[in-house]
Amino acid sequence: MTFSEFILRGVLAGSIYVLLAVPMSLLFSTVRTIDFAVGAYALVAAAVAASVGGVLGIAAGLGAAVAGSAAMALIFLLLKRFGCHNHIIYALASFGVATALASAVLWQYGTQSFVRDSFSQFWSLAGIRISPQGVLNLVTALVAVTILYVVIQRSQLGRMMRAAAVNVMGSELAGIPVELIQVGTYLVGGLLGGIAGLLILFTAGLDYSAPLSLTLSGFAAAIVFGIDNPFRALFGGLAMGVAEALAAGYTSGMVTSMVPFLFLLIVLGTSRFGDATVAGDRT
Amino acid sequence: MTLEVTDFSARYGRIEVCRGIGFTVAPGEFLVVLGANGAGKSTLLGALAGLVTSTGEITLDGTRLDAAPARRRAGMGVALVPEGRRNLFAPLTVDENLQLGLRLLPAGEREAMRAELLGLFPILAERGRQAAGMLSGGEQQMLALAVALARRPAVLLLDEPTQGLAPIVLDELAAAIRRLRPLGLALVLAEQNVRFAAGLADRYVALRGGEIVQAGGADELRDHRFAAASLLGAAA
Amino acid sequence: MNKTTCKSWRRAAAVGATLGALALPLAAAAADAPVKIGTVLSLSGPAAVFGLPERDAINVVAKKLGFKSPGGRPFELVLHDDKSNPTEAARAVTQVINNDKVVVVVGPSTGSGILAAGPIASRLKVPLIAPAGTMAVGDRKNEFWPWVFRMAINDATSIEFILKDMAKSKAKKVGVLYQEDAYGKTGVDLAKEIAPKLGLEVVETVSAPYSATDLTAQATRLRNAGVDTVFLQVSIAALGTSFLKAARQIGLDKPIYANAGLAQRSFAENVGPEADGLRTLSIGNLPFEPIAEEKELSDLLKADGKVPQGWGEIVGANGLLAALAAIDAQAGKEITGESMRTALEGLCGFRSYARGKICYSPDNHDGWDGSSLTIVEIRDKKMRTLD
Repeated sequence: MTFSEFILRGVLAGSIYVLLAVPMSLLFSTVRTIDFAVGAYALVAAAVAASVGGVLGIAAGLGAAVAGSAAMALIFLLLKRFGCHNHIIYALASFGVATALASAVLWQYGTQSFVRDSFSQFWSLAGIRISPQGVLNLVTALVAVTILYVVIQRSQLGRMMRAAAVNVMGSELAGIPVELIQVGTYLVGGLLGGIAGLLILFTAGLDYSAPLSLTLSGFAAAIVFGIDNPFRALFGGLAMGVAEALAAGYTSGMVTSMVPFLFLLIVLGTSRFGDATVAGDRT
Repeated sequence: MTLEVTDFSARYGRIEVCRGIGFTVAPGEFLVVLGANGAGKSTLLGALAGLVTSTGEITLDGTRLDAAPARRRAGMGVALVPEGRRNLFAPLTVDENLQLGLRLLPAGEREAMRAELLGLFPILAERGRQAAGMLSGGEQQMLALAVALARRPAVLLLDEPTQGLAPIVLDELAAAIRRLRPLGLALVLAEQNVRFAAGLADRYVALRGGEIVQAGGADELRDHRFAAASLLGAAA
Repeated sequence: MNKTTCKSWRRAAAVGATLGALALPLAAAAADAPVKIGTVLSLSGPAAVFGLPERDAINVVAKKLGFKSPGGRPFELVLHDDKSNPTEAARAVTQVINNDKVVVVVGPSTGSGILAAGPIASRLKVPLIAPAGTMAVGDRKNEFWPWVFRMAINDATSIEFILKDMAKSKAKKVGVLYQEDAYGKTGVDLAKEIAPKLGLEVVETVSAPYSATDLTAQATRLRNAGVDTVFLQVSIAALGTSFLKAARQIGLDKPIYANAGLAQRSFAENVGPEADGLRTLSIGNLPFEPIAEEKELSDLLKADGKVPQGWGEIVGANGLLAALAAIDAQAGKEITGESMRTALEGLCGFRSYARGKICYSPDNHDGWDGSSLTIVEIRDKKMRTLD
């Protein structure tokens, strides 16, 4: 009973990591870089939604998150225009954007934590009390991943995204609007990060200091089973949630906080993350 | 459509690689650009496709192309199959590569064009679900040609298609290229393999140091001494 | 950040490396020159929740006094952000002493920052007025102990205060959630040590990193341990809200106490109904039910357009007042870091914005006892002072 409860709670908690991991997976699949501002988009969405309130607040929060990612996309384009074609630089720039967004939230809203109530009733599943909010989080993560999977694997847009990721020159020759796709991917990342932020707002709450750790958790979840595919990000996020819940339930808390780092270590120690492993991968 | 190149130069940064290039290729005509390594063949084709900075005029039936970026030139009728088949997307399947090639055609014409391409390159029909990167060199070259042809270009720029291919595949490739003649496109083929080029060309230009040093008819290419000289960069 | 600070920042970049910590303190304020007071506070990073109110209170009190001590001695403030980072705190303290020639420093804001800056203060012979309860800060085994004067309640006193309130009910079994840092770990160790003396037993402890977004597993573990009451040794508001939501979700329906980190207006106002009944320790109740001395500070803040947040303003303002009282104790004399240290050791019962009396002596650098503490209960988004 206790073990299954920890598993269930881990799965529900992990759905937030999924939503943070998926945009990273998506951007890596398309631009071969990481947007480390995803956690900041989540914070911005939560802060704006909490301050505006209501349905309008949710829309404004998502809008603010997408605006944050648009700023990152603009920096990405400017870097390219100035001849910087280094994916590491794009990733470092996203750190800067994350810091700027978190500072903007601190400046505008102070050090308060952002939290809102959603459901006051709870469900009982085989004797385990769970919040409908947790289930909503999981369903949202599953729907987001499914939509993205279908788009990426089955649609012309998805083919263009994958093509732009592996061969920019070939994409230009095929008339694919590479930059438009890359900018669009940043914006989708902002939207998904924003959705994650709203779910955290209604689940546990967060404050201005959250972005870096959210990003780290999302990154660890994104890479643990391979960053190229949002379905793997789904399993990565859920696995991390479960690992954290089990660690919190059965070990010292210090182990819980090490889970994202352990995931990163496993990946860095065993895989070829970052290698151009596919034949013909010339960007 | 007729491709006309006038007073054309191409550069990488400050280094001018090609200069003063001029030629015309009529619809259905095959022009071979010969030259040794470093003569500027690939740069010339890349610049014509919009991948390399250039000056001078490129027109297609009088329409200027030279101000358009590569992506727009693709839509205006120029297709490049770069050296090493780098227009392919290796992790994507053969079908997916073809679908990307077909996307610039109106939706109603895509299926017919796909059938036409599989008729031209039958091997691709058998490899539909295979990743492009897993094909043999010859098959990859067929796919690269098919992807480039999929949008019905007026001009096909073909950069060293023989590179890295086994001699036994070359005849098959030459036959495939010959089958393109009825399509009526203007073909510019950059090659070092003069024998291969001689079997396809209507005319040739020879490049050395980025400039055209000689031009002539296909008959000259069949002269073996000339061919050897051309390969060594001594055609003059 | 004032102009002095910006200038000094640039100067430090140029000469700091060579002068560094080895330079002897040349600071000495002539009898009529303004005395320089350093304020090294966490204005960004996780501890900004305390550092920003500390800064605001110091600024409004300095403005109200017209930048003159109650005894009429002019003073200047030199403000630095320690970014909630001990390394940065040590660097900033070095800088304000060496470059800006301050004779006393209010700060750094965090226990770890004070521990990092303490040896520097000792070497350069300038006292720190330390607004943190961390036990190690006041450990007499520290070589730098003579140079650190606490302007907060030490953790042992605080935790005993909370556990005493718990013991008033029939609670016996205590569960503890603590955040994963020195503050959290020290708190849980103290709770284990003090609880048996009060007839309580800590039966389960769980911890969480700052970044945790879901604490249902931790709450489940406490519930399964059959605790009668829960103590939250957290200063991160988001962890507090997260745990309260988790506790409600998993059916952990027991009284919950929190250390002073959560006694903040922003926490009370932003948290939902799950916080109703949460009891937190506080130094006074500046935002909601200030007593007379606190109200004066609260009014000053409001007049300056600030919204009183919690006890951060109280420790900040009283840190400045302690420095000024020490300056006034040296009327007509040249003031140095060493003379400030001696003067601070003689301070007792100076005018402050607090309900308790602050007394330092050569043997006691903790200053405040538990008399300034109170338990507040959160209800309807307000902190209510309990008798």
